[in-house]
Amino acid sequence: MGVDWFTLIAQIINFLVLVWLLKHFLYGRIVGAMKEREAKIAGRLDEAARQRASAEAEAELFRARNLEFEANREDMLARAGDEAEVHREQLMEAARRDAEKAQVEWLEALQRERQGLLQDFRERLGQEVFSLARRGLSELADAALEEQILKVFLERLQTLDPAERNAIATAVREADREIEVRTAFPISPEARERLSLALQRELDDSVEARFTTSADIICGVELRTPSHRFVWNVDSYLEGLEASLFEALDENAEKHARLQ
Amino acid sequence: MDITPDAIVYWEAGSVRITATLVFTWLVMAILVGGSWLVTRRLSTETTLSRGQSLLEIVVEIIQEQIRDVTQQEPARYLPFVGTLFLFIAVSNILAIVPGFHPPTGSLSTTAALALCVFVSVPLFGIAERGVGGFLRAYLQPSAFLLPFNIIGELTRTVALALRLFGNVMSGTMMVAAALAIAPLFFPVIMSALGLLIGLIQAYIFAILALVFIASANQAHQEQAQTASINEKRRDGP
Repeated sequence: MGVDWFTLIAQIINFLVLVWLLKHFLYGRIVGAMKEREAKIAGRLDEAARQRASAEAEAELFRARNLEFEANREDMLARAGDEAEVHREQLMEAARRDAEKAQVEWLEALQRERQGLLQDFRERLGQEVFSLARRGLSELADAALEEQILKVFLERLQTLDPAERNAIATAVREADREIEVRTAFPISPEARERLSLALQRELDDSVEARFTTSADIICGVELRTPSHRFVWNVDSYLEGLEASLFEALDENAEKHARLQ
Repeated sequence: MDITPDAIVYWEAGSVRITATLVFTWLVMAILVGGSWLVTRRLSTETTLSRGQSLLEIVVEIIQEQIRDVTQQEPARYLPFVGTLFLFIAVSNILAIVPGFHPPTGSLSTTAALALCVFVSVPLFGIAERGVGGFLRAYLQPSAFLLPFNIIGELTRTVALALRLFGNVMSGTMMVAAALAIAPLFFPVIMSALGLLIGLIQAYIFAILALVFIASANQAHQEQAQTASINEKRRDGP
């Protein structure tokens, strides 16, 4: 039992070689891997911490938003209620307008219908009245009445509005001083003379009257130029009567509509 | 029976003798290096590890923890040397239970070689830490009169290191052999188990002592530096 020097030196070399080999194949690699893993885990932990912090910040943000939402909810509800009320008012207003419009249209339609009926009635009434008047006057008409009519006509001519008189005179002059005098019945030469003189006096000295008869004229006289017409007959009275009659009818209709 | 594997010679040419010590040393080296290579060629840096990598990482981590505890320094500098001492001795001693295996640590040449390595490494680590002058001054501490004792202490502790390991391993082998002769059935099993424990403890003791020797030289220097700085602060203070 002793120290074998060759073995001792060989063992020293063996040991040093083993140190070198293990440093290369074991410690370096294992420690490197452990450090790398630690760095990775630390990185992951950092990342997790960062994500957690981010998530917490986000959660805090949402909590704050929830609180804000809760705080604002009453206001929002009130605002929504107000808006709904306004909207309802608008809709009601629109509905009211539509209803009014429909009512107006209905009233207008009613009015139109009534007007149509009245017009129809008026026309029939007028026709009947005229028919009656015409028949009555035709039956009553004779030379004496004609005389009377002419007399009234001459009075009307004398009291004619100056502007109208000028207009007729101008029209007569434009028509080569010829004027047509239309009557329902043939009139006497004296009456013609008198009318011609009156026309010359009132309108123009050189006017010439041409006398014709027309069945359309009821108890009246008509002065006619190609551009002007001056009439007096019973029709004008009938028209006045018709106007007052229809006015009274219209008033009654309006009163009825208001009551409805 | 052979007390030491140095006595088993496989090949001889002059003073060159290939003994069982060398052959089994190479075997242990091959197992250590081959196993490390096999495991570390595919290392995972993820959280899922192979069993081999887990084992090696646990071993390396334990060694690093021990170095850190003893030296209070980062273990990277001492790890290859101290770790290899522990692993070589531990694997040699554990394989002693394999029939036909002669642990190289049972050879005084091997333990002396390892002790010499420690003996040389102490000044090398010391010089690397604080330079030649700083290291040599440590032998004059606390007084120049103690220089011979310091030198004797260095030598004797190296010899003690070598003899302790050799004696323990050799005695373990001897005891198993003796027990086999006396009670060949059950007793050797118990002795082998005890031998395993003793082998691991010896590996641990050898590595820790080497570490303590290396660290104590550095720590003495550090303590001196700390004392000097404290004294300076006291002088500067009120």
